Amino acid sequence: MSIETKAVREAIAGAKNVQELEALRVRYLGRNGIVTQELRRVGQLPQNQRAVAGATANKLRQQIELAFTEAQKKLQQEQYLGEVEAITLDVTAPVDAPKTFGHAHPVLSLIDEMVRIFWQMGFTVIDGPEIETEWYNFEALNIPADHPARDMQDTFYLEGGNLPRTHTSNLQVRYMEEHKPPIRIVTPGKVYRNEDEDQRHSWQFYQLEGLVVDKGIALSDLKGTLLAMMRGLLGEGTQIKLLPNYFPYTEPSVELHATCVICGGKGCKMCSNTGWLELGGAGMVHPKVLRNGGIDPEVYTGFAFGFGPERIAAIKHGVPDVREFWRPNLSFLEQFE
Amino acid sequence: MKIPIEWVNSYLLKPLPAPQMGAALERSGVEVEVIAAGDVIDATTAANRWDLNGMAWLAREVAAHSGHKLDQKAYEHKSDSRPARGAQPLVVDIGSPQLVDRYMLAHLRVDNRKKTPTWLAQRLEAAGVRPISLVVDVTNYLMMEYGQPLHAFDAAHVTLPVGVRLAKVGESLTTLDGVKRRLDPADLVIADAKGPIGLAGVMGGGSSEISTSTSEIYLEAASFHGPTLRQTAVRHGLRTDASARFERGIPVQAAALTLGRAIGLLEGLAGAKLLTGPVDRLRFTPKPVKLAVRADRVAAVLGLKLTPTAIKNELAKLGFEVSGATEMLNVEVPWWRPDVATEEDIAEEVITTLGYDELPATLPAWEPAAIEFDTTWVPRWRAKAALQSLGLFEVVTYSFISEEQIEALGRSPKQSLKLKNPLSSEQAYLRTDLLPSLLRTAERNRTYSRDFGLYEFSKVYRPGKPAELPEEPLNAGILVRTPTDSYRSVKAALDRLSRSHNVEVSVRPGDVEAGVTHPTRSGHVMVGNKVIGWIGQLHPAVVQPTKLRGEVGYLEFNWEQFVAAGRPHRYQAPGRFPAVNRDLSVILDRTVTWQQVKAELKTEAAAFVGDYYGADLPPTKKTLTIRLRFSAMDRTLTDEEADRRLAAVLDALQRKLGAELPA
Repeated sequence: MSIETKAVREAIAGAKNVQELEALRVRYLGRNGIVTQELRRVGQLPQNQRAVAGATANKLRQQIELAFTEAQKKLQQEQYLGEVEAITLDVTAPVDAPKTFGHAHPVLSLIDEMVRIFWQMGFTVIDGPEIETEWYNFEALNIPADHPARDMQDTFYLEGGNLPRTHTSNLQVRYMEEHKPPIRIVTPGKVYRNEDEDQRHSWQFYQLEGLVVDKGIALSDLKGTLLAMMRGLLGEGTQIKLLPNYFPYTEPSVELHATCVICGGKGCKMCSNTGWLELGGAGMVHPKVLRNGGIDPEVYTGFAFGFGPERIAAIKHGVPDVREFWRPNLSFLEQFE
Repeated sequence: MKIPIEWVNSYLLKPLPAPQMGAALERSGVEVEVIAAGDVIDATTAANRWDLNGMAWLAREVAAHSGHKLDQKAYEHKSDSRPARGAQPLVVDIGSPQLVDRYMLAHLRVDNRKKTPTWLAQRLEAAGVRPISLVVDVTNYLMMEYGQPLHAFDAAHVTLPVGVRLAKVGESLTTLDGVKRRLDPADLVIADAKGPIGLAGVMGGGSSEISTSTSEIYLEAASFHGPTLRQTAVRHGLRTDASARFERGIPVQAAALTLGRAIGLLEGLAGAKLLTGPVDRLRFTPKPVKLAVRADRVAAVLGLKLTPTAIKNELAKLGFEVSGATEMLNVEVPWWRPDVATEEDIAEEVITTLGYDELPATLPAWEPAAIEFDTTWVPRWRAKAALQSLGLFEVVTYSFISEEQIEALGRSPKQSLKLKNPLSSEQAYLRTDLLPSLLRTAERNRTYSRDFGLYEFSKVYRPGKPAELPEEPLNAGILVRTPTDSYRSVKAALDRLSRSHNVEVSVRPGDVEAGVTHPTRSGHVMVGNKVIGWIGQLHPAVVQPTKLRGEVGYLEFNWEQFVAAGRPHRYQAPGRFPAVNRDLSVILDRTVTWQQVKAELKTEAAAFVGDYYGADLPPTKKTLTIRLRFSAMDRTLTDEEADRRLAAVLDALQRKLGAELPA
């Protein structure tokens, strides 16, 4: 036999890299390799010699193949070990490309979140006109033309009548006219006030209003609903506090305070060290408003609540000036997903 | 308003520290803003509570909500004054009785050279009122104490009789602030024999101003019609401490109470002597308000278990007199609480004295309701995800725009709704589409990047039919600023939305808005045969003035119509046999669109590969390359079969669209 098995096996085991190993594989096991030729030659031997020569040649091939497998494993192992010693990848390097993905508006994201919470609670989310008659925006809500409450909201008016609504409450009586109790709606949307702007006010902003009318609805139900809602929005540990206030379209009327999301109620700059944040207004629907919606206040009672998503978004994201939301400034918006 | 803690404490038997007073005020509906430096509370009071404008009334609330006792002596006042014998009676002429529920006037001799005592000056200053002279300070003091404004005229400069009437056309008045004001016939004025001497309830006139040499005064206490005074204050830009108090409506009882206390104080401090009066023109004798209140209704509205006695006890803390301990309570409302008129008002008084912390937090017991299908939110969320995957920013822009923004697009402002009272000319018109706002936003952000995109979902406003509200279609607006290929960028958004919402949209080429859209790179966005919006590269004439270099692509369409055309995604089973792909390049007129080609190849699976507008072609021609995918459900097509179908496609394109094969 012309092949020195031991020498071949040593050569294979001594291959320094994958290329050398591949060259050896071609040399011995390739189509014209030495071992392949050896095997081919067995076929040309006389019949009586073939069995022995074939067995020997096959054994030789198996041994060499085994040597290749082992050498391959060894080289792979060495490669891994080599990589451990020579790092070629920083696993912490950033590969995200922020500019290739867009950005959602933080206030609208908050409204989206609210919508999901209210759906879970069984509310229907509705929409309605932003340009409204004075009736639905004011009179139907127990705010007559000379009522001092009109001082609280300075209103834009359109030439030729009607007005950009000053609150989402314009939908209360509209909805009651079209639907019988039980009523459980929320309505997010834009509202407009003819007011000078400052860090906490802009003349266009969002409101989210809720209205529930049914038999046996009590003020305690309002408190429970506000608590559930605020926990959904701000976290499970959230507490609420109600304080009396005045709105012409609710009686009793309350102001909603929730534990400060920044300090958890311990007191910080955001909450002026009170631990509380004023987040909205609410109350039992005034009997006159129910009547204006064609609902008998002796049979049904209801509650309504409203708050400003941008205030909550501003607090949540630490935005010191709500006007930032509407500029719109892309360097600001790129910070939100 | 500013509430000096020491002043409020002066009505209590035991003083209350600032934090507890703040808490008690909050429970009474006073919005406490800041407790400044521990001695003054900055607060806002409810617009329906005239009484909370006075320290003496605030002290009553504090007592009710803190359990502290009132010092009744602090509410007493003495006056020994009787009018001088044989004095001429004061004549007061009420010209507009429906606007004046009560008018009282007293003639006093005073020594106004005396100094205002320190305690009084300090309280005024703490409440934010500048001390001026003794008589003026006493009137201001009583306004701050009882919420009832008073006014003193220098008698030497008033010619009797005094009248209260509406101003006459052409009359004017120089008010105490030195401003000469042309009066409106809707202004209520105080006038003497010569003419107006004061804007009733708003500000006095300069001619009868009190000075240190004043020796006789006419002292006025009145109850004017709040809304009339409010309108006067607004008209003259003159909202004063007095007018702000009158606006809320002051019960007639307050005038007599406050005037009496003022006379008593002036006697003590300014050596005053009553000469005549006070005359008292009372329009009606007030009757106590009595309410029949169902205890069970109050309990039900609140969601609390409450006995009639418990309700009675809470109301008593606030000075309500309640008789009957049965289900039906007779409640007499104290005169200083005209805001309480219904059972619900009573329920509010009960819960505020109990404290809202006593209220349990329950959830309404709801029965399941029919599902209201959502066609708004989920499609919107899907759109947001699609547009953000293209790198676009969601923005919210103002609904009101300026005339310049409209005219910059060569449009007429007449098509837009206009505000009667805009904050500024920047926000005078309601936008009819989103283009002006998004273009302005792009312009303002031009230094952000050379390549960015915006989108906004918002209502726009268009004049409606007569006697109807304006139309408010909800539009989707998409703008991309980019150095080149802006059309493709916005078309990418349209294609992606079309796919994500499975809406079959087409573009009908054409110059959508002359001067706004690029004549050959724009078109209407169609759903079926309906135009729902437009897409295009903006005309350079619109882009150039904005200093945005490069191109701007724009897309806007009616979002609700788009969503309504959406269909469920239908699964198509892949064929069992491999398809044969064939690419085909043809030369076409440049006016022939891909949409036309695709329409011709309805039955074949054809995909757009690319088009070419090279200089080696005639200027009216382009090359279009399409990929055809031939397959059969029951077998693998042979090359000959695929070639036959390719030939059929080519034949159709040649016959219908004048296609030619490249040389």
